[in-house]
Amino acid sequence: MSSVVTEIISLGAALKRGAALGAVALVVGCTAPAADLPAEGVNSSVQDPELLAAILEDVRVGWERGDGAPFHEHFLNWEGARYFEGGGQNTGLDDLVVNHVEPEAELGLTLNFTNIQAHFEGDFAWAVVDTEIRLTMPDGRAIHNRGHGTYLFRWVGDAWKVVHTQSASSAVG
Amino acid sequence: MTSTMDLLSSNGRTTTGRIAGRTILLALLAAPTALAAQSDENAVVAVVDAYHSALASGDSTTALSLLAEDVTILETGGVEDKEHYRSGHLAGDMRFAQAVPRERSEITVTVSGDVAWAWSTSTTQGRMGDREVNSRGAELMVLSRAGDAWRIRAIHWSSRAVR
Repeated sequence: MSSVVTEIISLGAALKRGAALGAVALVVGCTAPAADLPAEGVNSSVQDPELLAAILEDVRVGWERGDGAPFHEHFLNWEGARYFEGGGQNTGLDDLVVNHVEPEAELGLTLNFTNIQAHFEGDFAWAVVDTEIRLTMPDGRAIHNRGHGTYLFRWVGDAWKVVHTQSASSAVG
Repeated sequence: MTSTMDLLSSNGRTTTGRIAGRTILLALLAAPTALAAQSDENAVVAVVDAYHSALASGDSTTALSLLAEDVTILETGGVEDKEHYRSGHLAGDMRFAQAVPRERSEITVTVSGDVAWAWSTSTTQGRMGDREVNSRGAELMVLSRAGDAWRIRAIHWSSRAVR
């Protein structure tokens, strides 16, 4: 089952100061801690695949250069953020940049995104991309993989922000 | 944007007499929203569970009924739409689900209006034919509300062998 946080607000201390109702404990709802991002209305003009493609291009370059700046610009750094690759995951933006982006760039990573397929649903969007990866491991082994990535976006303020990613690839040939 | 629930969370832990009335008011206003959110979250988890149960029991009709018509499915080999999945990987996925035990983590759900995404991790260990399977995987599903029901719009499965 999904994780659930039950928020209990005890009002006992406050009521001792003069409130007339006596000790009360309110159980205020049950919700997942990382869930329920408030929905925002968006103009349909922002449902533009080119906006997502531009973000993905920035992110692709960030991967190749080991540069965290595009990630900090385009990713929503929120408590529930997870980024999956293969069967592994990074928790939060700093973990992704420090433990994944920067080390892979040092291996001479080249990354291509092609065939971007964008889907929009109100203030939410997701994009599926074909990926191609080349790098050289420290032991000299050449890696050439192809695979796919799924990027989830939320419209926040005045821009699409990446809220979740999953990617996987396997060796070519 | 700060939600009512966010306000409740921050105020609720430092309740004082001065703000008690406001807190009570916010709590009463927020309770239906929180309950609705929990209901959505449970409904999403139920769909994900039902989908996996259908695969494990070989019930292709139920599995397909939980997929939106425009679903995109990513797994080893490529991107499939519903028709290709129906005639392609679905049968293999059901055989695999029936043959190889899988232990799944909690499903984490994030609801955003009429869209939600659910992710989980899993370990899969067993034998499929003459092949030993021992892998860690991740699953991502995007769902949207269609009337009163949630349907799966996208699935991404990925895994890697445990060494």
